[in-house]
Amino acid sequence: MSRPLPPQQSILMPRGHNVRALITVLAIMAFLAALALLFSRATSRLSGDWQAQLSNSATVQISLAPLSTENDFETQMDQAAESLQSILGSEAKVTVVQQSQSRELIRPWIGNLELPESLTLPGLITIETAGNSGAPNAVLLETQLQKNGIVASVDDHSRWTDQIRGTARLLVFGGTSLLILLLVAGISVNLFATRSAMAAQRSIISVLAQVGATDGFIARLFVGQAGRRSASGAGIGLILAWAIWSALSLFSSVPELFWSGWGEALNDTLWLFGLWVLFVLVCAIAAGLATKRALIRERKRA
Amino acid sequence: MTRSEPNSKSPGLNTKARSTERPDIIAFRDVGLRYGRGPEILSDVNLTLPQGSFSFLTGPSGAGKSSLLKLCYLALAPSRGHISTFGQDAALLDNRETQAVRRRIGVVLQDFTLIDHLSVFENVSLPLRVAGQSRAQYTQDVTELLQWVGLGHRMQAFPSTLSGGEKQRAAIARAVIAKPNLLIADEPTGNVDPEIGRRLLRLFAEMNRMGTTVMIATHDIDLIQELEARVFRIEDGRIYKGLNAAPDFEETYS
Repeated sequence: MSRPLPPQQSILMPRGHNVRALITVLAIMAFLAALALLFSRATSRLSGDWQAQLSNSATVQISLAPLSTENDFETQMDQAAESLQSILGSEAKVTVVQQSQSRELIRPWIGNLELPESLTLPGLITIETAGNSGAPNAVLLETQLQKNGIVASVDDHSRWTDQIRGTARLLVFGGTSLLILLLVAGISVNLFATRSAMAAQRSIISVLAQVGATDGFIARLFVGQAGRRSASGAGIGLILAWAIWSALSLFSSVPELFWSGWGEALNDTLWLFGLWVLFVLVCAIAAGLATKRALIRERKRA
Repeated sequence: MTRSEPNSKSPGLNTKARSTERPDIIAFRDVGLRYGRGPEILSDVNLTLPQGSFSFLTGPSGAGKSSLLKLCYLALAPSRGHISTFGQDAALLDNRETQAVRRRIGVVLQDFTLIDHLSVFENVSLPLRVAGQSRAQYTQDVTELLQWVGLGHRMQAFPSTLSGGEKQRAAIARAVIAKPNLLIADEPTGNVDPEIGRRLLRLFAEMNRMGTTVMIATHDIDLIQELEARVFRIEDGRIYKGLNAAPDFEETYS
């Protein structure tokens, strides 16, 4: 009884020159690309959270009339709060910031010094609107308060949300650009590797042409090789990035930047998987095009 | 041996003289070949290989035998003149058509051109794999052929471990496995002992009997005299008729 044949061998050299080094380079690129993607998504998510918090709130600074007693402050602030509540409706949350709280807010800005009790601080009221209705219109609110005899300045945080939005967009753009650059670098590395592999395997290509292999058949061999190489390299890089991000999510001192729950982790993992597919695809396509071009050039030279 | 005059007629056009009308597998008309700006290696070559013919190509080393064979299997394009393969003008074939023609041609070269990291089995099955056949489809054919050429016990061996004769037989097996319409061999018995040489010649003759057109380039006069076949002698880049020409050859060229 004859022995069973071993599995079909790869027509191209299975471990070409410098394959390990090439996989390492691809892994590093994929790792950096994955970090760029994760940072972009984290920035986007974080800025979204901050904007959501700020856009539904406003801070009202009440210009107090001269105070004679402590009760005077409370009375004036309660009146202002009632007035705000009546303007905004019962769904809005109107909170008077106590003087002691104001002192705590200010203290870090003056070198953690204790403020004298006699120093009267501006009266602050915070407003949180319900749902996604956004911050109240500052000018309108000021006018309405003035009609009720209260002089106040309203900060709807739009200056901050605009800055956060702008900064976040810039960071996401930077991350996306870095991602694209790394993909382009990955393509270049694969083009170079494919050309070098073709040069090293010229005799095999010549045999294949001799037995009637079309350009498409030969290109598919190199596409398969580049695809496997990229899949390994990108896989290693992305898994490493995922592991580091997971560890940072568990142990970082700034947990809000990283994954705060399974939903975010799963979502980002799907994005990483998409990046892996994209990486493998573009590298394989680049290898295919490089092979076809080289074969055509070789034929013209012959 | 007397040297004949160069054949100046165009055999491809001289079809009336033939005893039987057979389409030409290969027809050269006024073909010239030069590499780069060097001198012409082949000049005014006119020859035809009718379907089912068996031809030898002989001549001294460096006369242009290998170049002529390369023109036959479209590895080179002529500098001038026309080559027709399987009834198609070779100059007009695109890559896909050229490769389709090559799949109908089996080639055995002097340097064997076996792929080092593939086993004998994988090397021999390469034309079938390229043609899109599955392993299950070709395993039996490849195994039988390898046994026939005496390599049944070396199927999983790699070319680097084979002797010259074994490499030669593996290269021949690869050339014939796809049952080509045209078989071109360059010194196919150069590295094998006489017994194996005769056995391989019988394989070529058997393939020819089944309809394959065969052209063998060789120095081996004994091999040429084993069969009654057309003989082309090439010298100084020109084709001469020669030696024990077959009857239809005499009719064509006399």
